[in-house]
Amino acid sequence: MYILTCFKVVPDLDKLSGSSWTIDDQLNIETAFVSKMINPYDESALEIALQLSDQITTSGTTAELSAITIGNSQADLYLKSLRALGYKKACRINCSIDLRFNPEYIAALIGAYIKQNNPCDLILMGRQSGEGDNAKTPFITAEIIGWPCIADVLKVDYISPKLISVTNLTDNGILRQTVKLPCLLAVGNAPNSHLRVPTLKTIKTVGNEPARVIEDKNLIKFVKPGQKINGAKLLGLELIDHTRQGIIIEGNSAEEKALLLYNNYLKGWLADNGL
Amino acid sequence: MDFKYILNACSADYPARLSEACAFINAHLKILSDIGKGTAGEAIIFYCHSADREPDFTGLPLQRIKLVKLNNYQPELALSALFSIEKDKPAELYIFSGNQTGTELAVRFSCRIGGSSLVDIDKFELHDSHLECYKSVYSGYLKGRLILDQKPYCLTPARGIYTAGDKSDDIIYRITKLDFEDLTNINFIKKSEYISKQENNQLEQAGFIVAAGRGVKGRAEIGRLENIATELGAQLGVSRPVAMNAWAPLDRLLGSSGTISRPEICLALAVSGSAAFYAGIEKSKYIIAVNTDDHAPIIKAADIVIIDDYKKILDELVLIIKRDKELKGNAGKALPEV
Ligand SMILES: Cc1cc2nc3c(=O)[nH]c(=O)nc-3n(C[C@H](O)[C@H](O)[C@H](O)COP(=O)(O)OP(=O)(O)OC[C@H]3O[C@@H](n4cnc5c(N)ncnc54)[C@H](O)[C@@H]3O)c2cc1C
Ligand SMILES: Nc1ncnc2c1ncn2[C@@H]1O[C@H](COP(=O)(O)O)[C@@H](O)[C@H]1O
Repeated sequence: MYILTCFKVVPDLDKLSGSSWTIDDQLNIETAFVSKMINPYDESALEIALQLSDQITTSGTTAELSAITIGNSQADLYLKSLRALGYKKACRINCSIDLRFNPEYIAALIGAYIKQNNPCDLILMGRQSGEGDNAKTPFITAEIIGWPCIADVLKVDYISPKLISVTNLTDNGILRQTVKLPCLLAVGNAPNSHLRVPTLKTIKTVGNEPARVIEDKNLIKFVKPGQKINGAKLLGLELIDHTRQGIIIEGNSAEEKALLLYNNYLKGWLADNGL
Repeated sequence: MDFKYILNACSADYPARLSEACAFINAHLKILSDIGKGTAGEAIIFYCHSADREPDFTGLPLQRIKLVKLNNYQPELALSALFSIEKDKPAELYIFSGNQTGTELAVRFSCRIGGSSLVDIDKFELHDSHLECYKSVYSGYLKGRLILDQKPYCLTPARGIYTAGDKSDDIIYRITKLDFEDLTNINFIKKSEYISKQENNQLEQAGFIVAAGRGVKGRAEIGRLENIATELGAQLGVSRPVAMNAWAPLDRLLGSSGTISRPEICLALAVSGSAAFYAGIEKSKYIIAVNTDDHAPIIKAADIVIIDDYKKILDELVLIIKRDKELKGNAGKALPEV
């Protein structure tokens, strides 16, 4: 079974404190000094692919894992550790245009990559990624390649070379389905899907081989004429202010603070609201 | 020119999405009737053949209603049905519900019909050549102003903004019915069963929420907090790390990818207050935060703050409330003032 996972490297925005958000004239945010991470949903997707591959191997068949990311060289370090984890092909599509609000372009590249010569039975993506918070790429990709897709996936299990079991969260509850491949899955808040860490030994086996890089212009020429490759145009960005009163209750002990909280606020609020 | 509002009555949250539709349409009525050039838009409502009656849409401020019967709700079926209804004469604007169904349909339908899409928008303005939208970006830290310039525009409203819509009660509806029951061609699904059904979302409706974050450090503690919350008449909500560690079920998740709550009081324990989490509690009337770190973002984003170990504070609080209840039974006595 050929399994492809698409992931994005994003700045850890929770590390930016309120005062360090600067928006420049081009509407870019300075994030060079914040740590990077794999988008949390993509991290789950990468781990789910590994778990599925483990199950497939146990059953005596073979799985081939690949991972792709579209962006600049900051992803290369992650590609290396994915290779150490068992991703046989891990490549980056180099791209210098602003991708933040352009899931159409990303999906077009992923579609072209698959159609190019990369066999694939199952595609895993995340449900949403920063900075655009677009929540669109998996659905557009599915439409471009004409595959069915399932949203908010929580768990994937192997059944047979062309069948998998997919558990996902729907507006009606948690659904488990037996799904015939090919299919595209958008991974949601999947419990117990923290990406495993490669060992030093496996990292060494990968060596210093550079990441495989494909230029976007070599792929975009395979995009169907007329296919939409431009996303929404960004006109403005503004910091959202969440500030409230922030009254700090001081006291000498936990008991004193709790009592102040209760007497001065909670008791009245609870009573006012009939709680 | 026209606009259409797409609803899915097969989903458990249909009543809430119907209110959302009323609120969204009313909030944008002027823009929407400009598009409609005097004619109000149309609602397209999917419902399942297993439903014992046709869906209720009272209050929806649209005159034209199209009821579309499906064999069962499957996104692929709804998409095919919608595309075949709309392909010959697409409207200028399509609005879908702010839930999973809506997001998937909005984006995929826009691809099929050759339009453009944006999900989770707060509001929009229509211009001759484009649609201008506002939405949260950067994990909820920033508000973005974005332009779509390819019709039809397909949108979904952000959750939690359009809630209690004034229902219109003087509308004479013109109803058309379409039957797509024969459409069953989803051969990639071989078997399908619900492991758990979504009942009423208790977090969405709670008046008092105890929200627990990663700082609670374990499943056992979550169990204890759940009992305390019940005792206090509150519902327990959690942050993403708690749900991802499977310390609490997913329906307890608060935030941009979980429930958007609007309680009177939210007691936020050991959460740092990331924007994605905060989206789930920001509609609270009062936020009380307990955190050991006086630099945590939640400190400034709460009304009342205690810098301390949440365990100690909560244990004391439970004792105080218990005592107070006992004293209330014991008329005349009050709690000692500090
Ligand atoms: C696209 C995207 C979507 C997301 N969606 C959501 C979402 O819907 N919901 C969500 O919650 N998150 C979401 N997140 C994750 C979010 O960014 C944060 O990582 C997460 O909310 C942090 O959870 P936390 O506050 O529990 O943990 P942490 O950030 O680790 O904070 C723990 C806090 O507990 C405090 N603490 C520790 N021990 C104690 C103690 N004994 N007493 C008092 N305080 C203590 C610490 O000081 C710290 O402030 C999303 C992220 C992304 C990128
Ligand atoms: N630059 C990228 N490279 C690879 N995959 C991406 C990229 N951007 C988005 N994706 C995939 O699309 C999903 C949804 O992203 P988005 O539509 O931007 O919210 C992500 O979780 C990834 O799986």
